[in-house]
Amino acid sequence: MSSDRKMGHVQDFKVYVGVLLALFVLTVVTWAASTVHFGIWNNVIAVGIAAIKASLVIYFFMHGRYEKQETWAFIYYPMLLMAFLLGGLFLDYATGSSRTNKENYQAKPTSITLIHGEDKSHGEAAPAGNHAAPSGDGHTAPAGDNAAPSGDHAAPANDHATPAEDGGNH
Amino acid sequence: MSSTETQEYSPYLQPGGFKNWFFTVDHKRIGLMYLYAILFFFIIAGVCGLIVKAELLAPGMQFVDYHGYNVFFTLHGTIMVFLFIVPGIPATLGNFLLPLMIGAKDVAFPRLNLLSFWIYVLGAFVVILSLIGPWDEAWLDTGWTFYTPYSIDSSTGVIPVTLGAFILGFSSVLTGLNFVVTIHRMRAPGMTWHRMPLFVWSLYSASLIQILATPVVGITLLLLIMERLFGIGFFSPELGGDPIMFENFFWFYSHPVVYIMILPAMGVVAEILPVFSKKAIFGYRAIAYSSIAIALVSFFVWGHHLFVSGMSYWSRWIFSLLTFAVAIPTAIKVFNWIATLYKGSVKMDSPMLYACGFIFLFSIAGLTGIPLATLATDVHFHDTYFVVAHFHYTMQGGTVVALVGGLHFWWPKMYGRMYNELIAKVGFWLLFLGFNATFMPMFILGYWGMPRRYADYMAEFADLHFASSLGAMVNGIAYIVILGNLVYAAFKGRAAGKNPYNSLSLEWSIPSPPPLTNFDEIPTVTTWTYGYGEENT
Amino acid sequence: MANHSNWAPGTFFHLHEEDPVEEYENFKLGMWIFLATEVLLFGGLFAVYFVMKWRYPDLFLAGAAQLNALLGTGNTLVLLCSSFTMALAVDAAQRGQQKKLVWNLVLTLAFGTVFLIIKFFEWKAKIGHGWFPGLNLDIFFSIYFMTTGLHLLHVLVGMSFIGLLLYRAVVHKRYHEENFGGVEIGGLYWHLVDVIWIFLFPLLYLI
Repeated sequence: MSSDRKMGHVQDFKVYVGVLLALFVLTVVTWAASTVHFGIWNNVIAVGIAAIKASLVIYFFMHGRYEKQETWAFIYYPMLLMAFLLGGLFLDYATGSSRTNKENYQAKPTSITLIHGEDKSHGEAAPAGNHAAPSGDGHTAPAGDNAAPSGDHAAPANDHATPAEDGGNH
Repeated sequence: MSSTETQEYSPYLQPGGFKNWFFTVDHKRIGLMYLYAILFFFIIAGVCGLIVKAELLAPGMQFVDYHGYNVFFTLHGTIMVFLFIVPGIPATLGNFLLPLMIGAKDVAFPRLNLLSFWIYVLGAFVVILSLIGPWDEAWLDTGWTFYTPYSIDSSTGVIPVTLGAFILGFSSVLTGLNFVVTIHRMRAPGMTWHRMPLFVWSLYSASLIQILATPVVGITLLLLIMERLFGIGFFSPELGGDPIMFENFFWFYSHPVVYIMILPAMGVVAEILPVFSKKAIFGYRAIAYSSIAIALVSFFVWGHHLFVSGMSYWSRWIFSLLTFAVAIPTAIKVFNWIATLYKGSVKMDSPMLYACGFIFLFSIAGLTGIPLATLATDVHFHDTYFVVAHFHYTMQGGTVVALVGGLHFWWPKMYGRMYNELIAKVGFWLLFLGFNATFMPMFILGYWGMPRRYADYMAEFADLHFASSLGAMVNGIAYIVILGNLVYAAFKGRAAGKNPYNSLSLEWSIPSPPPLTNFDEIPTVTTWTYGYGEENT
Repeated sequence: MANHSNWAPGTFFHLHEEDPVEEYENFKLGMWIFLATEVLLFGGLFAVYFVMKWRYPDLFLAGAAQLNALLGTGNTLVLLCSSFTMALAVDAAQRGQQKKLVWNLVLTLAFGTVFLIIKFFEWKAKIGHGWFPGLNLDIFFSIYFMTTGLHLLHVLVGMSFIGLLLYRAVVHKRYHEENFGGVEIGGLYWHLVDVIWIFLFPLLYLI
């Protein structure tokens, strides 16, 4: 049917349904993977699965599979540029710049940790009713560095802040 | 509904009237409206610059105080960059010429083109809004780079200016988008990529940068506004933020933007040289591909604006190396232009004077960029007058000279009238003399250690500052002569024919001024634009 | 259609005509390029996120714990459904199926509205705790509100565009096999809004 069209390509309904189901499954997988702790790989998995989902949307929902090379160039280059921006930033920050040494930075005191203890029972007025306390706890407890135990108003970067105590920003 | 009834020729300049011009979708009229707007802001920003130079005539403060000085160099920079030179050649000559050069009736999205212009006007208006209020409190004094944390703490009109710049970004993006689609899809039959004029290649490259770089400064300025309004803490150290992150994001756009400024200028030069040498451009493909190469590599060099900010060792040498790399395609162009002149039948009319002046002045600009790209010397030159001289050689000696040369070259096409050649030549030499007198001393001042953005200076710098400020006055007078000549010609110049320069480019094959729909029939192109007796390479 | 013939040639309502297939391809390329700029806009924001997350990992973990991952997942599924119905709307326009087109546009708007409602409740809860720009806000929530706020703005713009398409489809019966470009480019924009959320969701809620 698409061969006698002057413009556009039609896809079968099954394609759309299939992609939607795949996206649903991947969403659940993302959520599930985030509850297990792979350390730094959590970031990679989360962004990786998101990239797969985005690719499905671009390729099938947005008819990317039928687009010409010149259009695809405008899909690739922004991503490439973003990678370069991040690369350039981290090249500076992560390779020993004296200015951006993490120890010199202290985040503004946050109210999150302070009320964390009482936070579990408040209703977020979520229509789903039951809020994510279990998964929330699953996140922070093993991470260990959570500032809640320290109680005082110092920033969460408490490992580093210990010597400086509440002397605050350097 | 379409105006195919062009039996009789009616120039695009008619009919006049506000409704016909403010609501026009014709690219030629939009180009002219942009031209009037940017020249207006050029004059305002130029006056601000002259105030700065007047203050620097002698040590001590004669006309303004320190805050006032900061205000005037900020206004000069901000208006020049965002309201004049970034729209610059693409919005004016580009809008006017692009469809003509590729044999199209208009750009791909004429209404979007008009929207771009309206957004430009809105952005300009918002920037001007910052001038409402007592000047010592309201007028911006952060420098056009809005560095944090001062731009967060400063009590001046940071928000209107940055918001205006944000709005202007949309105008830039939409123009770039329009040009890219036009070039991809609306070329006349037979107008292959390798038969396009080099000006079109340069517009394409500049448009790529406009599309890809502008959103990043958009989000950066938005974050700055949010930080001022809500204290969200991205860039303020006391809130855990990082002011250098602002610099990184700002320069991620602002370095590519200088290539938006210069690439179309180089395209203009590449158009003028063959016509006035009666010789094909040398190295067409090299020039075309180097335009694209510059556009792409320009994104990877922003760090050279931050060399002394405490960057890591690895970051510094990599950015330095990449900065050297981006100079190579530019050098390729310079060699090709000179080779074009070689053994040509050169006629030094005023557009050619400007083109040759560009080559000379931009070469100085490029060569003085090398000590800035070199880490060891940049430590000494950063934030001195050496940098000021370098970028004025690129922007004024480069882009403005090319814009003025292009205006002279295409003025007869735009208005159907020719300017006075003698006054044009006088104007050029005044400009050349005044410009060099203003900025050449600055290289020496910078070398001696004179910092930039300083309202006052030590006695040892006085002589060179005095000479430079006198040169600035001549520079200003030159523009009066040049613009006066052109404006007079638009009204009262003698009629120019279809093709007074005997150029082979498509825009010269239609009447001057062109009719509304450009071509009665879309031409079929069989040869490249530079076939002055030679084959396509 | 309104009579605009009293406007001179070359003005707003008096453009020269373009071949429909050419025009369709032009609009598509133009929209893809515009999407590229949107990607870069959000990309800058993501870059800020990554830098700040690298610098304050504990703050970000604590902050993510405060977000309701269930609502976030729900919102993700809602937007995915809206993308699905939007793609079906484009398909219907391509095939000239008017009723299917209208229904799918309506459903897309409905899913979009559900997204807005869920977002409203999420934000209300945060504001209730005093976490809002201008009040005492730490970096994680600054980024949270900036990114979800900008995304919300794009959702609203997208929904307005779809509303316009709906109006034109119902009142002017404008879209059919020979003329469906408008629906397609509206769809492209809406899918981008979805793609941005696909990335936002794990970055803010899950990791």
